[in-house]
Amino acid sequence: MLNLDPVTFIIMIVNLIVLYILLRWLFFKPVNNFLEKRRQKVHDDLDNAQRDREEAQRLLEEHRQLVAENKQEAAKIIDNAVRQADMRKEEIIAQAGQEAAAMLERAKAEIAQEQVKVMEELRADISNLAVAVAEKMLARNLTAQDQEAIFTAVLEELESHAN
Amino acid sequence: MSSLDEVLEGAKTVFTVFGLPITESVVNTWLVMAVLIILAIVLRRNLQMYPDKRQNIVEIIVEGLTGLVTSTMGPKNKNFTPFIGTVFLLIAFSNILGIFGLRSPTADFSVTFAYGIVTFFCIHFFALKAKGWSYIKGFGQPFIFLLPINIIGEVAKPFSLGMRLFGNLLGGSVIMAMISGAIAIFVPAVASIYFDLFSGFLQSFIFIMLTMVFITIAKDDDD
Repeated sequence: MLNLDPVTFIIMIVNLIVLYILLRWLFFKPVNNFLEKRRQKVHDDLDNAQRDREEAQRLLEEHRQLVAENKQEAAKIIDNAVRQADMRKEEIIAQAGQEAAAMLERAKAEIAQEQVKVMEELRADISNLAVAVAEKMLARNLTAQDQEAIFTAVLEELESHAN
Repeated sequence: MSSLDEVLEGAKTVFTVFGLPITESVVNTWLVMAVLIILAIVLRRNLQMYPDKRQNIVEIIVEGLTGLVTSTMGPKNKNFTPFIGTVFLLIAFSNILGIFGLRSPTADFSVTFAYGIVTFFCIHFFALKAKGWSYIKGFGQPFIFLLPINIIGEVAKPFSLGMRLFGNLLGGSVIMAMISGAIAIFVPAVASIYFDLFSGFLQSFIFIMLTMVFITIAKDDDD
């Protein structure tokens, strides 16, 4: 019982070493490798998730900024358009006013011209008429001097009437 | 249950090979080894990222042992886990063999002393590997005349390890045999839970704790 059996003793040492080698090869090594691999995977996954979250945050920030910029841009464009339209309106109104004034001017000038022309025609007609009337009344031919004097007098009279 | 006489008689020779006696202890150890190897193969088959019940058991065993080794020996000695784990499983399963009515191989001093000697060589092999010549010089510390005492202390370790395990297991077997002889019903079952199962695990735990502490002190202590 307490005596040492050398055969058992040596076999047990061999047994222990063999079992150690077998268990390490069959059990501890593969399981440990697997656990290490999984630890690594979990670690990587967490890292990736963190990175993705940061990326998403960054993109969101970027988009927000972009949207704000676009809004500003749009406001500016609308503002510009409104200002331009205003300017154009003023221009058109001014042009219309000018055109109207020019037309009025032209009409006035034409009227004045017409007046002058009519007056001239009238003057010629009246002088002829006056001469004919005077001739008839005097029943004689006037000298050129008389004719001139009468003509002038009639004309002056007419003019003072016309005015 | 073996009777008291059978227990005290020691391990019987089962058969002989080339005139060498193969005892009950050796045969039973082979049985334990076969069980452990089959369990190892069955348990570690197709490990998944999402563990099932079987894999949880595997992970508890491996991570528990790894945790025990790293907390006792420090993280840099994590590589001792397979050795410590093997010793633990072998001794624990050998110890609880009594539950099945078989003779525990660890109730044989030839067996426990063999384990103690393996531990002894581990202690000094790894210490020499780590410290080299200064480890040998360490035996003359703090005074050179303590050299014999230090050597005796080292030589005593495998004996103390072997004797402790052997004594506890034999004592358990003797008490179990006595209880079985006195009262045959119910009481032996309850006593077996303590003497075979609890004490068996406790003693294998003590054995590996001492092994780890001895190796770590010899290997990593700076003085």
